[in-house]
Amino acid sequence: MSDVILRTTDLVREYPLPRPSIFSKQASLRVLHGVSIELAAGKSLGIVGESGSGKSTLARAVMGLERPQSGEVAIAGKDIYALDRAGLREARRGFQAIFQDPYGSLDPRHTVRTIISEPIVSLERGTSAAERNRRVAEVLEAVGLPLASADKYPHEFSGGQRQRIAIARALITRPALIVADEPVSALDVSIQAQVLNLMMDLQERLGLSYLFISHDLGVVRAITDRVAVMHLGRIVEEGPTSEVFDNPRHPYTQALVAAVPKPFSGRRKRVRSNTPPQTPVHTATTAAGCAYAAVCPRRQDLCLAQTPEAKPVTPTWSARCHFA
Amino acid sequence: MTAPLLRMAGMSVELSAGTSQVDIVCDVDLELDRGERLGIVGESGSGKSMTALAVMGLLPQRMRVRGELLFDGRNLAGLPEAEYCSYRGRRIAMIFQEPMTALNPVKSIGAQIAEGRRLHLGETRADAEKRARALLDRVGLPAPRFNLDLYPHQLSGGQRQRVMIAMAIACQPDLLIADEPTTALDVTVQAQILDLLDDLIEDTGTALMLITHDLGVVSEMTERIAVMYAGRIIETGRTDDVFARMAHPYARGLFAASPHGAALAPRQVEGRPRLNAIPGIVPDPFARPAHCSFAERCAFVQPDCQRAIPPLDLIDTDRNVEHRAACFHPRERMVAP
Repeated sequence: MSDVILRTTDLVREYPLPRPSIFSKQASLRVLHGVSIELAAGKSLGIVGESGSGKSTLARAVMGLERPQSGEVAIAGKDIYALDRAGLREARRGFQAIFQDPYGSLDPRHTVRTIISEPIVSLERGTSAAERNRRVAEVLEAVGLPLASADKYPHEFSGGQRQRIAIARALITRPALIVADEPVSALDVSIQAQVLNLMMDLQERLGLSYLFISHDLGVVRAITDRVAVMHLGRIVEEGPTSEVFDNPRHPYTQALVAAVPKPFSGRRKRVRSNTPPQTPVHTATTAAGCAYAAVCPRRQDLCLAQTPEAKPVTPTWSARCHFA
Repeated sequence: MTAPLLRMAGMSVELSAGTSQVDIVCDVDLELDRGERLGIVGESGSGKSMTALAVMGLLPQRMRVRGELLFDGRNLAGLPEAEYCSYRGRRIAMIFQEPMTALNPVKSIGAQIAEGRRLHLGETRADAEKRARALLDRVGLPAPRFNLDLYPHQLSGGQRQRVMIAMAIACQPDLLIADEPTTALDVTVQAQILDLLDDLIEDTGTALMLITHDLGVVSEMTERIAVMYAGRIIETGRTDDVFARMAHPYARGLFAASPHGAALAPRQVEGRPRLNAIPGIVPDPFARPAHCSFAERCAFVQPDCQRAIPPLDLIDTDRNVEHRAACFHPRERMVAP
């Protein structure tokens, strides 16, 4: 299988921390601990994790918005951080983003036409106005908005319609990869389903690949082929979505899946743990040991001594746990 | 039989905008007794939060309550603010969705928790703070890590929500309203907060009104639910009955559209299965139709649906709890998932 649209290799991203005094050494917070993912063309990969797990940082690194300290992001075979300005501009036509907040991500003072055609204006200079309008009409039709929407302003649309506008803007350069960072979490359930269905339709029609970031396991299950579970900057489990969620192998994935409230489950009957809830914290160092060990119910001495490597469960499924 | 703790009868919330008036919440009948847990489910614009704010007497300006809103036998609709203060925080307390914005950033958490007791029960600062310490222990924030002199910005989202809960239960209220208490939280933290709420309700016998859009949360936390759409209750009954039947097409559609429902849907042979989206959008409150407000989006629509607003009719009774649905053509029992 040669068609890999996105591959990241050992991405490391650190943020400098404020120094307690000007004489102290510069400390930094490592948000991505060597993240490697692979997304096949035409498929979708979900990234799930809780806040602070680094999933949005990963999305930003993939979009070329945060240069990693080390590691490589290759989109369609090209390392985007090795490209020069012109090369990056050219490459950006191949990948676009959809953001979470459909209210914040559209400029309120621009018409929908200006918003949607902005990627061509900046990435495909020299496109004629007639051609731009034709392309705007094409993508509006693709996302199911009336042509008349082009001359309206964002405030005239509902949340679901705005997210359609955001999708239209992402589609206009005819990208192969779309990075969607929580694209439906601001929407109501019935509208969320409409937008997810639209994304699935477009994927089949246009052969798009999605890197789909979400904290909602149900949404990820509905739209992705494979899923990577992130915990404190590491991918702890990666595999086919339904297999991972039906039978999670890493204790963190198990906790995550078990924590989702399910309809028809009746009143809560949860095994309460006696240990007080702890919040694991990012560590700046790469100290040995499993980052999840502090709260893991299956912890053994080995977990504190040695950082687990990703171990294969099946050829297409791996978990980063000594006992998976 | 004694009167229920909370009783809404034909309650509406009216919004005046310029010369026109519109009912944001329409004709709501609900009862809630001590120790009961009621869930209110709906999407944005369904009027679920406004129902809660009406009970709290915290409606925005230009909105007012019409009809009956009885709390412990007293009509709260139109009660003067001074008298409302003896209920709010003392006998009715609320947990808000956003712990980041609902807490006062320039007051220590101890002072915020103690405030209610000093104000309502006339306790001294020392007594109230002793009590605040006990409350923080109760909600799982032990000393010395979580001292009373911490400020909200020093806490994580889940910890702030615990502080909110401590504030809400400080005066041992009879009714606790939780408006999307876990929506802003991660799933594992959400599970901890729901466990805590569950324990507290069990220990204190407080009535709970839980407002949420999450069908999973409501299923795990409540005994009775009311599903709201476009300002009206469209289905209500015991939680397990409503889930088992989903007589109103909207209740059914909401469930089918949620990814929970997708996991249960039969897989198609080819391609990725689609979610069962509900077409269209919620009608604008200023342009709600004079017939069933779901008719335009309904897959089971009949000609008479476009003629009148369906009343909330009795369709079944289970263990003395009525199961009602506002539909002319209620669905029969769902095929069990």
